[in-house]
Amino acid sequence: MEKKEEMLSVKDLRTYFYTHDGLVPAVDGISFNIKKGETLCVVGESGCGKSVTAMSILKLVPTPPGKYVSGEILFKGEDLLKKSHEEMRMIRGNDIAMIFQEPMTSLNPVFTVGNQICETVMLHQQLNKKEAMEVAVEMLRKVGIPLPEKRVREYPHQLSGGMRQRVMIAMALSCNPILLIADEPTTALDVTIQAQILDLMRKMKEETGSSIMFITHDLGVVAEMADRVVVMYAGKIVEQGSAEEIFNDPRHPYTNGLLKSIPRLQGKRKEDLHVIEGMVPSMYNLPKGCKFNPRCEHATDICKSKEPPLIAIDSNNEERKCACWLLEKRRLYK
Amino acid sequence: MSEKLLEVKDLKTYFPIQNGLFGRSTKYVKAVDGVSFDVYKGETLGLVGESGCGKSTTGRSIMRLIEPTEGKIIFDGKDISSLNKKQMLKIRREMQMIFQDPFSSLNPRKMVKEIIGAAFEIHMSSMRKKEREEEVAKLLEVVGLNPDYITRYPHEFSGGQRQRIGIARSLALKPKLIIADEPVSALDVSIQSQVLNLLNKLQKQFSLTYIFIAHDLSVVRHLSDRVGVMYLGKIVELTDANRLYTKPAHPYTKALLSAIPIPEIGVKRERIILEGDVPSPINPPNGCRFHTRCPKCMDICKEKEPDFKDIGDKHYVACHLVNG
Amino acid sequence: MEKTQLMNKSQKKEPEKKNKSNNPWIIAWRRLLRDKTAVFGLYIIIFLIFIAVFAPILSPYHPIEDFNLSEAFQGPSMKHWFGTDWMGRDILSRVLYGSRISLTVGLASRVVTLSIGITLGALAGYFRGKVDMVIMRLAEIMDAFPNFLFAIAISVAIGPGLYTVFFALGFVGWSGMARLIRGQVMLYRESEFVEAARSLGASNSRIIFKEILPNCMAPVIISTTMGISSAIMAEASLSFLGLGAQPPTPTWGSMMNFGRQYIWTAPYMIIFPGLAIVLTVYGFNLFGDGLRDVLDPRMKD
Repeated sequence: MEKKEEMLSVKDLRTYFYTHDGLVPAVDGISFNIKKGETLCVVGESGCGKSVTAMSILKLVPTPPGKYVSGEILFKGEDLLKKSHEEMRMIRGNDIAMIFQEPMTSLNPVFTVGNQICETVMLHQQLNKKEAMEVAVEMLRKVGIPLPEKRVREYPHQLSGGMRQRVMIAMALSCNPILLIADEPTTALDVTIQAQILDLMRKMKEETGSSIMFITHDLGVVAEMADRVVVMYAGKIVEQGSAEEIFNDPRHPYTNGLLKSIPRLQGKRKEDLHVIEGMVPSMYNLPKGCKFNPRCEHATDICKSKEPPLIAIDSNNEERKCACWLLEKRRLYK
Repeated sequence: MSEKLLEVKDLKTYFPIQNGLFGRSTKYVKAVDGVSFDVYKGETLGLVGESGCGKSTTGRSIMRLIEPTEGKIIFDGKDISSLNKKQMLKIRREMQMIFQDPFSSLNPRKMVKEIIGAAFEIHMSSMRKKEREEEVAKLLEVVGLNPDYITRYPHEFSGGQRQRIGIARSLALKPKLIIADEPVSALDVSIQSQVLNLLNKLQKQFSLTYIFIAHDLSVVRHLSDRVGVMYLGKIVELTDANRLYTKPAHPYTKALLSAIPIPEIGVKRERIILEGDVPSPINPPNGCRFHTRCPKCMDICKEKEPDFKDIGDKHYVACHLVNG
Repeated sequence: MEKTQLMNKSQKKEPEKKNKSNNPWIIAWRRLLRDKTAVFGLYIIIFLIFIAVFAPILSPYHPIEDFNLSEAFQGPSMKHWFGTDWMGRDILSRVLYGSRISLTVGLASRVVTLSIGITLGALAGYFRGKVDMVIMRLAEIMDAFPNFLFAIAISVAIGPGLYTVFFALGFVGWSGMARLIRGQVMLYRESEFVEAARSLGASNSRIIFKEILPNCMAPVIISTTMGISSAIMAEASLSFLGLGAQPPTPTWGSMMNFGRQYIWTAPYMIIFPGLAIVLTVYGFNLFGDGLRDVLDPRMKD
């Protein structure tokens, strides 16, 4: 793989929540980076910390109860965690933009679509209202909204779910961000609409050359979008690698189990699927050692007592990492 | 194939949109607009479609949870669409439902023994409390939960466990037909396969017939023998599961299948991306309902509604392209 | 195999939870007890109930029969801690006995409000349509009158007395309670657990009483607790106007009513019953606020 420039690097990030019922280590010491022009997918199940990671990058975690306990997030050589509120405001929407899962709740219902795009544009690009409105129309046209001149004057509730998500994308891209963070952007949409949006995101990425951090639980979407993949479980990264490596040669029992457990469009029907036993652990009460050990079919004594480090498993490729004690015993699965 | 357990004939369910001071309704949401299909004993019929296509309303209309506007529902040789509440009570023992949301489908104020035991209270009022609790404990074991859990409340369980409780409730009266409405879509990926396997096991164990409603085509394919694809209140294609996924005939089915993201790398697929959104069910398009988004739309499609016809081997399609 | 593994895993967690009750109401109660101000309010309420129950034992004098005109208008002293009134009756004893009336009015009027409000609200919310329309129009008419004036009108119409107060104060609250219940019922009647009950063939009354209403109780409890304190205030006002329990029955409101004439010469006649009202209202409000925190917006584990 060719070496690309790193544009964001997260080092040993820990974001904890101090709640009534106890400590939640939502993100517990993760390190990864995003390179220029690539799409990094972060996959995991509910509560694995993928969304909190994204919120931490933008410093959007509510504090309290949240707290950035340690780590740094380097962007353009500067640590975002050390930035002030004001500085972050200038970075958000301009250098780093975000798309959320629920377009209805992230668009303000009392302003027109055009106004909302204008606001971002005017804040970051020193344009007057009229010029900003032109940018808004142009952006809506780019994301494939028919009759953009008419749509800019409409309110979010007048648009369908797919259209709203397009508006969100238009708004996010209106200031040519270097990094786009998309948190489950298609989860609330139907498959045919999801296909439209994924297609649009791919096109926009090619056009603008920006990087995307794509958060999802859907492995199908990962396969479709990702250059590289980070798999998270209970606040930790358990495996990372290129999309091919993750799908064709998964090393962590969790990744492997997930891939085997999803029903496919071909192959046998009505037979038992592979199962990962047990349930997703409660973040209030995590198991000792490897967080996955109670559900892991290969768990041994060391897994129950000591946490495995995330280490490079390919001497030629430092980006290929996995956190599992079994790797010592070489390739057991597949 | 074995005998029919359920026949649905030209089912229509409209919801009035109320307006005006006295709630006169002039418009209707045509949620289900002329749907016909049979379900055979022991099979699983899958119903797929996107949100608003009427799949859930179809399921609820069969259960008479929503009163159908028109059409016949023949269950075990008996037309149940016109039964009154009391007559319907007997039928309810034989068909049950599994719901989508593991959180809102269990009453948060009741213990598991009350949630599942309600079935016995209503239908076997002579049963003693002790017996009832024993039955509930047995049911919990059947769905893979600890029988000691009968005195627990829903908030003490995870999503997957709650879904198992919902399944146990549906099994309580030993029904013949179970309508499962998106039973796994609210669950985490690693929990989905557990529940799918359980549904599969129970079908064999109790020779159940399923109507499996979902939006996820791969999940539907895994569990179903035959699959019906719905679009805007109608079934557009209905056939054997293998055939539907290998030789889809309707342009909508083709587009739907091509739109599913597949968790594999390096598989090149032809992708059909549909333009636009699903039209409103208040005022569905004339002719074929799919014509506004169909990549192969012809003139006739805009005027005449295609018949739902067998194109051979019980492969039913409603499309002018195939029907000729 | 799958089953046993699942069971083993869950059994491991068992011991820590064992001795604690899992009932959602008890969990809320336990959380309420952690709220210091609510517990303070609860102490006040318990204190008042204690006084009301043991008023005959606690009172140094009889509130009505022990009058002695020669001892009228005495300020607080060792003999009469709160002083005496215009008939020479011991104010402390009358305040203690007055708690009986106040608490009874508070509770009895709530019983009236709850029974009318829950019935009509549940019917309106569950059956919707015409039933709903009729009930809600009635509620709107009800709301068009200022509550207190309406209560006065009822009292005048039926004639003053303690039972009139129960009814009048209870009746004016029904529309608010009905609206609250209706909203809750409408919310829950669409939920999947109600659909599940219907698909089992549960009757309407079973669905309303066993499935829906238990879920509506949190806001009802909150509003009832708060309602008790406003009913106690309203009772005092009615008595103050001479429309409540009739003399010589000791109620805080009527004591203030009579004390009004002597406010400059014998202020203790009005201060002590006034303080009693303030304390009671304060207690119920503190407790109600605490309840709101633990029961609202929704129960979580």
